[in-house]
Amino acid sequence: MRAPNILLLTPAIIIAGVAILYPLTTSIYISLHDIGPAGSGWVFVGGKHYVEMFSNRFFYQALVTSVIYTLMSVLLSLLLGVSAALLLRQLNRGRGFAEALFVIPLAVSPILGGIVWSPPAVWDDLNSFLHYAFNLPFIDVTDPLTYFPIMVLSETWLWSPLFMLATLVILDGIPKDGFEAAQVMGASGRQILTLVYLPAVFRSRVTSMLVALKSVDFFRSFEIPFAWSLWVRESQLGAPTDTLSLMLFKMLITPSSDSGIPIPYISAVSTALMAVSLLATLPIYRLVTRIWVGGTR
Amino acid sequence: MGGWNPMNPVKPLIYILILALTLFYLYPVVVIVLEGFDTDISPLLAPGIRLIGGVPYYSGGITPSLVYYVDMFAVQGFQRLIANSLVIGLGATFLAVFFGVFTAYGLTFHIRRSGRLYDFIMLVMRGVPPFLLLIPLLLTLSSWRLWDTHVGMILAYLTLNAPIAYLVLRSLMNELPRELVEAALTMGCNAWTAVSRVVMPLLMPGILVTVVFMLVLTWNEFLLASLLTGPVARTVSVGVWAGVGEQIGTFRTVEFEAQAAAGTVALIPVATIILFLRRRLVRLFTLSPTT
Repeated sequence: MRAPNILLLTPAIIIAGVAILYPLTTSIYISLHDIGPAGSGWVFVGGKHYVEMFSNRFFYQALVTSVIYTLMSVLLSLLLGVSAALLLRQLNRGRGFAEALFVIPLAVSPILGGIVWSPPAVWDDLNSFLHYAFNLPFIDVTDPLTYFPIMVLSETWLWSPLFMLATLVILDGIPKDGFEAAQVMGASGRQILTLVYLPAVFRSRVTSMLVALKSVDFFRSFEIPFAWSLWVRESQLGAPTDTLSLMLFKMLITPSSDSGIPIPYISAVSTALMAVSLLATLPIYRLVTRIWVGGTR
Repeated sequence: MGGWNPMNPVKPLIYILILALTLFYLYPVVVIVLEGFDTDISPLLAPGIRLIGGVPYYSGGITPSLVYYVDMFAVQGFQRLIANSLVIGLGATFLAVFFGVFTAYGLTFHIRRSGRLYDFIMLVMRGVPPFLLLIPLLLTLSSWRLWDTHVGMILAYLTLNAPIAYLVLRSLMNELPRELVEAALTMGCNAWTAVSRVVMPLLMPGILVTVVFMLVLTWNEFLLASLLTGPVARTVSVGVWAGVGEQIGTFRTVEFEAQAAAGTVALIPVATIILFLRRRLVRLFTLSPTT
């Protein structure tokens, strides 16, 4: 059984080479070098860019922004998704139809998510409506305290349907006799909600998995902050829109006066952030193995 | 069959809340679709009120026309972008799923010990910062003269999506009865025939769903495409942002109605797919055996 084993490993090695080894080794190599004077290629500089990262205030700012953005997005998505699912379950007719309407944002690409909630799409009209109907003052979307929550709202709009679908799948999986018995015994609607539905949702491994994986995704979020940096004209570094991904993007496309494009620095930040994905993967890995061995409950 | 009594006074409130949610989820999409069919006399003064230097300006009215769609297809050649996205998406998806099936098969049924470490590494790679992939890709593709080519983009998306494809396929493979594959192997199947005659036919629905899912992911991807493509291999989602214009459109002012029209065209096929997949999305995203 020796020979077939090695043959069987070939696809695994190819994927690992293309998707792991190549980007990782290249990034680490670049992060330890500098682009030398014309023609001289890469010059080894050691940990210079890592030191630079820890003394750069834009890095800390973007890190904090990303963390807040992630927490707000994941909490709001969970809250809205679970509420939407609980509401849908109260419908006797048209539940499937309403569910189909609610999942449409999942088809919207993240960059289009930045467009559909933009000032010309929603906020200008809403402003004129509120103004003419209720004589309210205009919502100033150029204020960071307004547009940051809107960015989170756009992210929630895109992804809460996924949390809703997960909740529906979990609730449909609850054995019917359980809560029918509860009803017969005279449990009120609220008791069924707090003693049957909510524990089922929040104890499910599917929910934990979704929260963990989407937190990682929100932490890397790029498209919606990028779109908003255009809507509110925040193209400079250090703007309140800057998540880590957007900060690195801005460094890459905005030529800086002194040292050209800081490619090694960008690689150093990305490599350092690998630590975050490693840490985040530990609980995710534990969940995955439990789910694959013992199911979702 | 909800748990609540139909005579419950809470019922009207539930309908109101569901109506509010419908408005929340659908309104932005409806606006985008309508904007694409609406021309403005001046692109600077789209309908609505905006603050220009603190002073509110109002311009309104809807002038229905197909001007953005005609411009998009007849002048800007949006169909070329659609073709690019399809070629790149199909290429990258085929490779990711092909290698993914064999890797998942090998690690699930033959080399089980290495499988767990491999799963861990793939989960890490699913969550890496995008620039960890982008900078190496940018440098390699330009030095190999593959920047802004279909082959280059297929490689880029293979790097990005191979871990996701592998993980989804591994979660499928995991549910296959082990005895079945072992029986096939003892009865004379080799690895190749076990995959092609036993595993693939059994998992075909799941593999097809994975393929469709990977196609949607590549179709919607923006960051890699915006930095690794130029005028030749530009994909749909970059075109949507650029309002299909010739510039890459990074921090350039873009025409909103052109974005809306392109966004509508990009959205229709994906929305159809998502409606069909719906609850299967939960399993695709969470790697859990749910539906």
